[in-house]
This record gives sequence, structure tokens and C-alpha cells, in this order.
Amino acid sequence: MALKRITKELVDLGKDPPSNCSAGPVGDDLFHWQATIMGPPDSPYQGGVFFLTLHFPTDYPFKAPKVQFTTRIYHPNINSNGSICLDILRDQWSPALTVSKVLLSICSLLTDPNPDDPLVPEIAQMFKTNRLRYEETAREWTRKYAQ
Amino acid sequence: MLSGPSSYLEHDCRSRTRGRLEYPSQLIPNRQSVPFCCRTVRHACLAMASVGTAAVAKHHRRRFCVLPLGGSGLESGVAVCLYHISGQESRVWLDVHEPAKRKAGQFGGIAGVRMEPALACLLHEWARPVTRLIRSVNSVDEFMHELVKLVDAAETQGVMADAHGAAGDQKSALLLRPTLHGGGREGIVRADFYERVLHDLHALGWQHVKHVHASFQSVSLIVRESKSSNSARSGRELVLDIAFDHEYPHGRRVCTIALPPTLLNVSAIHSTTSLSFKELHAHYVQVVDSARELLDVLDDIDAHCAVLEPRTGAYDAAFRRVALGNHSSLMVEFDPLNALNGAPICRFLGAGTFITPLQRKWSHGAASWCEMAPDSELPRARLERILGITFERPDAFSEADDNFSTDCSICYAYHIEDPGAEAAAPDARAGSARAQRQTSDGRSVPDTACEAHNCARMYHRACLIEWFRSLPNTRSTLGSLIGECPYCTTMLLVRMS
Repeated sequence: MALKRITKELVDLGKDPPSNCSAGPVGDDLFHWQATIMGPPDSPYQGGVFFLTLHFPTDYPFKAPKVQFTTRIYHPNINSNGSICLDILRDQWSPALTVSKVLLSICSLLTDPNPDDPLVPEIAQMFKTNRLRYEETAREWTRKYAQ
Repeated sequence: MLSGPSSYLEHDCRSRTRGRLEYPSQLIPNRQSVPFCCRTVRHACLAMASVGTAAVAKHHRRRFCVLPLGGSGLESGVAVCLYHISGQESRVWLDVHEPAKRKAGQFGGIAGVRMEPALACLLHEWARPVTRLIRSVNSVDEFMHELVKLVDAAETQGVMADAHGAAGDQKSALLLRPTLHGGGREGIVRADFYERVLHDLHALGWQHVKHVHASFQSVSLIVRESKSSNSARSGRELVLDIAFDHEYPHGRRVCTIALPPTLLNVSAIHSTTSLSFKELHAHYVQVVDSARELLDVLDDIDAHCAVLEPRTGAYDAAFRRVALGNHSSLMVEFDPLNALNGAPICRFLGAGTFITPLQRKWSHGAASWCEMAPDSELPRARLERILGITFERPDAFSEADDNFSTDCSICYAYHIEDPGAEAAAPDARAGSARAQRQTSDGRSVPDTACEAHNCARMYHRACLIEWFRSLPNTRSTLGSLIGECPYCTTMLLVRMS
């Protein structure tokens, strides 16, 4: 069941790719994908290319896919392991969501971080108190790791 | 040049009745991709004719046997089965040049030789003599005689080398023999079997032959509908596959054609009676003609509606499921024997807001199916009139268009083969609920719809139940689960039993 749905999503991604994102299986294993996100233009991540891995659980789409950044990124909701704090990847997951929608949500998370539900409290604190320095560090990390 | 069927087919004279036929399929290139043409078999036969009848008589202790080769994608060619001294068999494929036009039927020369790996390995050091042979010979027969000599020489040399190399190791050589002689009796074929098959195909006419399988145990024939003035479309071509065994024209026989079973009139061609290809073909021409009404009706639907299943042009199923938009669809099933005037069985699938009005119109209109219709009106047009709708055109439908999809919005599939296997169902009650929802072929179809007017998405009951069970806020009342539609959060109720 999961395989059929993943295959369909792959076909749909090919037909109607989301802006600034791409995704596809790494090898023959359709349950293991790699995705790329271009840093959104109106964010300090602009110009960076961020890589992510996607692991589909065997009971997909009843459970959310596991999504992680492999490229380091300075963001209040993404930690140094690449884990993402995003509600739709946890308790707000629904079978109505797709890889495409998940990637677009991550894109908008890059543009609008959520410092009230942080994964890295220090970065969230920085975001709240010294926005300029946060943006500067984020730009620097993007230059350093994502270009 | 063809003096008779026996001239191009012969059997291995060592035993007079032995001639095993079985091609390793991976060695025959592109059997499926190259369309069969009559020429291929004819040329193979012509090439075999060059082997000649005289040779059969002369060489009673023949060491090779020429096999018919059809539909293999070779322009013309012969497969030869060669027996080693040890009794082992190897196959050799010869590509034969087409003879020049004025010399039709004569040997055109050998274009190429392919051998089984074992034989190629044996002749590895003899490549030059073999090449010389290819250039010089005047017939397939002559080539094979010379090749046998080379193989014998190579084998003798090989045995002597072995004896020198591993002195006293006779045990392995002895052990080898029984396996080389192996081969079940089921592979033994009467030589006149091939004659008979080719003769009957010739009698039927090559224009009706689509494909002959290289094993010579199945043929695909083209059954053309006979011309008719009042049919919307005539001259449809259907493919009849006939699988037969080495007892042809007696023995077991399986005919397959893509038409509903009720039309086939199988009793008339009961497998105990022996029938030639021509008689079988004639029977199926009648069958196809009797299916004309049904085919007209189905073609009309395929041409005018967005058909979801089966594939367009599939005649073996007397039903069509057509898209109505808003994730709903209509399954319409015809009586194969009375497709034009018999009222079809209609089932509406989708959200109640969309299909209830249609169901109401259908239950009023179905009774007057026959009375109010002008004769020329096809069922599709009648349905449109009764339901007061125009079906979506075929071009309106595209897979990317979400609005037409009637697949389950959770698993993205229409059929689920075994809903119990993947859906985690610890209690037996849910399992039995799924069993009830299965269609006759054991597969479930999406049968639960979101009733919200702007959503109307379809779900498999099993998928919704599994999703609801994974949610903390799902309520369970009187054997039903109540949860939110994953897409629009409208409350949905799913019965578990």
C-alpha cells in the first residue's frame, strides 16, 4: 500500500514540481529519498542549497515521513543533527499531506521561524532579541555550509 | 522449391522419434518486441528446405536435427540441435541470408552463427576453422556436418588433455555421463507434429497469423470482424491465442480471446474434439460477430466518456466505470448477449450529495429503458438522457486532475488486493467488516465518501479505519468510528461491522 502511494507521489512530483524544491529516491529503495531546498529569496538562507533525507515508514501514509536536514543550518527550529521541529511531521500529520506539501512547509519555516516552539533555545533567543545578528549568522552559515 | 511439408521438417534419425524442442528463451532476441511477419516463418522453412529430404535418407546416424524457428525476430534463420559424442545436446542458431529473388528457395549463405555457451567454449580454439566453414559451405546441412566433425575433434582433444592433466580422475568423467543423457520423456515430440502445425497455418492463411511462439506450442491469430452495413464500426481485429500441446490437433487446447466468457460458446469447440486452426478461427469469427452489439456499445462509451476502468478498448469486461466529476463515478454493466437493448446495471459511487439525485433519476428512468428509446440510440446516449447529464469527455480526464480521481485519497489506489494484510487489525470484527466490502474478485474499492460538498473525496473503509485508530481524538460509538476527513476535517462516520 505504502509503495503504491509513494510511487504515485513521485510521479506527481515529476509532473508538477513545487517551487524551489526537488525530491526523489536515492537508489532503488523507494522508501529512502533525498530532497533539496533552495534558500527562499526573502530569507537569510537565500542562495543556499540545503539537502534533506526522507525516510518513509512502512505504514506511510498513516505515519509521517522522517525528514532531516543533512546540510547544517542556523535556524531556531532545526538542530545540529538536522532534526526539524515541525508540527505536521509529528502530531499534526495527516494522510492528506504529501512530500510536496511537507517540503513547501519546510520552505515557509525557513522564511518564518517559529521561536515560540524552539528546538535550539539559544538561536530562538537570538532571533527574538537580536534579529540582525541572527540574520547575519544565518547568512554566514549558509555561505559556509550550503554553497 | 517446397516439395512438401516433410521436406523442411525432419527429425533426429538416431531414434526416429526423438526431437526435443525447447529454446532457452533468453537466447532468442526480442521475441516480444519484433512483430511477427509471415515472411519470417516462410524463410525459416525455405532455409530448412535446403537441408533437403535426401539428407534424411542418407544419414541414418545423424548427429543434428533442424528445428523450425518462427517469430524469433530473425530475418530468416534455423535452429539446429547438435549431439555431442557424449550424448549432450547443444543448440546452434544460424542466421541465413535471404536468397536472391530469382533463386528463391535456394540457400543464400550463412550470415551468422550463435552457439550455446558450453559449445562456444568447447570451440573456443577452433574459431578459425568455423569462420572458414561459414564462408565456404553451400547448405545448412553441409555446414552442420562439418561442424559436427570439428566438435568431435575438439571433444577428443579435450578428453585427452583432461586425461593428461588429471591422470586417474576417471570417476568425474563417469559421473558426468548420466546427467548428460538426462531429459524427460515429456519433451519427446512426434516429427509430423511440426508438419501438421505448419500445414494448418498455411491452410488458414498467413494473413490471419500474428505470431507463432518459438516453442511451437502457441500461436496468436487475428480474428477480423466481418463487414456489416448497420454497425457503427466494423473490421475490428481481436487476437486469439491458441495454446496446444504436441498432440495437436487432438489433445489439450486452450483458446484465449478478450471477450466476455458468456459469448464464447465454448461447448461448440469442446476440447475433446479435434479441430484445426482453420476451424477454430472460423468459430471465433462467428463469436466476434455475435459480440458486435456489445463492442459497438463499449466503443461508443470509450469514445465519449472519461473511462476510469477497465483500460479503453478492453472487450473482455462488459462494464465501464466512467468519471462523473467531484470524485464520483458510475459503474455501468451490460448484458453481453443483449447490450444494445437490455437495461444495464448501474451503480453510482461517490458522495451522497452528488450521486443521490442521479440514483433517483435512474430508478425512475430505468423501467422505461426499452420503451422510450429510438432504436438507433446507443445506451450511452440513453443514459445521458435519463440522468440529464453529459458524461465527461475522454480528453477532460487527466490523471493529474484531482477532481476526477475516484481513487482512495489515503492510499492513492483504487483496488486494494488484501486490505486485511496491511491494515493493522487486532480484533476480528474489523477484519470481517473488510471482508464484506470486498468485491467479487476479493479486492476492495473506495466506498466511503466525505459528504462535504466541496470535498467529496473517496476512501477505502479499511484505510479510514486504520487512520482513525491512529488518532487520539477518534470516538467510537455503536460499532462505528467517528473522526475527521483528513482533507477537510468534516466529521465522518465509518461503520466497523
